Amino acid sequence: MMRAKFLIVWVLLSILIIWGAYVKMVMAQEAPTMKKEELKKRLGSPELIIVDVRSGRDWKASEFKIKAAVHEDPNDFDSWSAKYRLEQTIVIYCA
Amino acid sequence: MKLLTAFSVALSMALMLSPGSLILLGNSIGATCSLFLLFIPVAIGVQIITAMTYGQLHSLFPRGGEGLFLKEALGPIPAIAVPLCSRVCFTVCASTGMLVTAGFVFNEVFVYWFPNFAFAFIMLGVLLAINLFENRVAEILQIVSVLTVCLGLIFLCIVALLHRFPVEFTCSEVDFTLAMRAACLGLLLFVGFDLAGSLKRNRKDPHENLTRSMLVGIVLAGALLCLWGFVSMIRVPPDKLAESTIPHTLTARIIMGQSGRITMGIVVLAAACGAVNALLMSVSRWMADMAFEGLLPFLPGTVRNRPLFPLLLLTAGTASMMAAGIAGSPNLDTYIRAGLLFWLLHYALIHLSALILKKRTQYGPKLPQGTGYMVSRVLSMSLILAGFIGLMWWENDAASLIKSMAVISVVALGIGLIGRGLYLKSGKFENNNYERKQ
Repeated sequence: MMRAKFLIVWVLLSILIIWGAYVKMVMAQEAPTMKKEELKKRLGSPELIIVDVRSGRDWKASEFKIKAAVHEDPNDFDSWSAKYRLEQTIVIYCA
Repeated sequence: MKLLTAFSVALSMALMLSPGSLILLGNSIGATCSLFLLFIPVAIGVQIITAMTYGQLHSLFPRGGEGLFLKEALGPIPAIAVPLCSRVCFTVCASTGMLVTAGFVFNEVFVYWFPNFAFAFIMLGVLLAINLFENRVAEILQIVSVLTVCLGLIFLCIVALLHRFPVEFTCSEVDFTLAMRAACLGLLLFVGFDLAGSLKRNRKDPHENLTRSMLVGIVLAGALLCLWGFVSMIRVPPDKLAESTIPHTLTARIIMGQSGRITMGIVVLAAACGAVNALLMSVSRWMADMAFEGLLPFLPGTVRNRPLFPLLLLTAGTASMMAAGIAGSPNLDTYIRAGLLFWLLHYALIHLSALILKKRTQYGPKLPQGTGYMVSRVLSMSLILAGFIGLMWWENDAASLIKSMAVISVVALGIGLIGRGLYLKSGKFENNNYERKQ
């Protein structure tokens, strides 16, 4: 009986984890990407804007923050999106 | 017996030396400099009195858990709702945050190709497995984790104090509001010393041993935090320390460069491991005790020495939050702060319980006599409540904090009322006093 309950909890937990990972993967595939070598070459260009949209612990706990990057809240897109021009290359950085 | 003492001290120190405490300390030192080092002894004093109150109340109810004396003094609903608001909510939210932090540190400092998300899940899974199947290993892991944190911080402090650095930083003037907020934050540094209380049933003399463990834990952690705070203050520019999201890593990097970064990486991993292990272990035992005393619905698989279901519940809650990406949301930190504030309130209610029980004829004579007892408890409770109000008042995003506290309270009260209803309906504990049932 106890074993069955233990198994059910673990199955539910595994489904939850796989679902979370799947959603993350699907969402990541939709955006065009830029190779880091290309980004390095273009660093310093006034037409390049790097936006760090990591939030919460993802941003706070990370030691690696690109120096030129601007930190913006992804949940507050409307308030900051107008700051940037469409002609500029905007690199959204989230991991 | 010696291992049990070391284990209970390690349990009481785990949360005080967590990555969150190091961040809070670093930011506060950056904002208020040496002033914060003066607030730490005051916070230590307040929490020493709280620890003594815990010890005395545990000695009044040697066989029951903490819920029992809250129930005797304040009634069943606060006895159910308050621990749920403070400890259970905090355990799920803070464990999520600490595991994700550990994942980032492992990924960025040690193994670049290893996903932080996977590391956080593996760490949680390993801690769950150890707690489920090998209690002894979990106890040893707790001691080793806390010892690693202490040795790592002491090592960095010694290096920082022995080496000559070209510049030592001094602070500009600190305004009153900032100083008062820092004083309130000081109290948060010592939240969690009572985790050792979950070992009560392992003790022959809970008052003597538990109080000693909690006091030793508070003093050792306090001394270490003071030392680390002092080193951070003299080695890192205050504005950088105040603004950094990882002030401890910044300090370690300035002290020893790449070696300091690696040392701090080990410290943070050990601190996260120790804190999550302590929370899972202690809070699951508390939940089991509460179920045993009829304060929570009976939890399947809950037996006195193996809180299986609460452990699975807490782990599943943490895993779900990580899988849902809550760690990336600013709401997580708001809920952690809400849990910490409820924990402070919990301490104030412990003092209130002691004062109420002191007035009762059946308990009063068993508690220490003299006005000093009452005065110290009233003073300690007032300072904790002042800290609670101050932290609410000076909160940057007060609306979100109040909202999250309201959500937690409603859920906990709901569980409290349902629990109370089931408890009365079951009729299992008609003699509503665990002490008399023994």
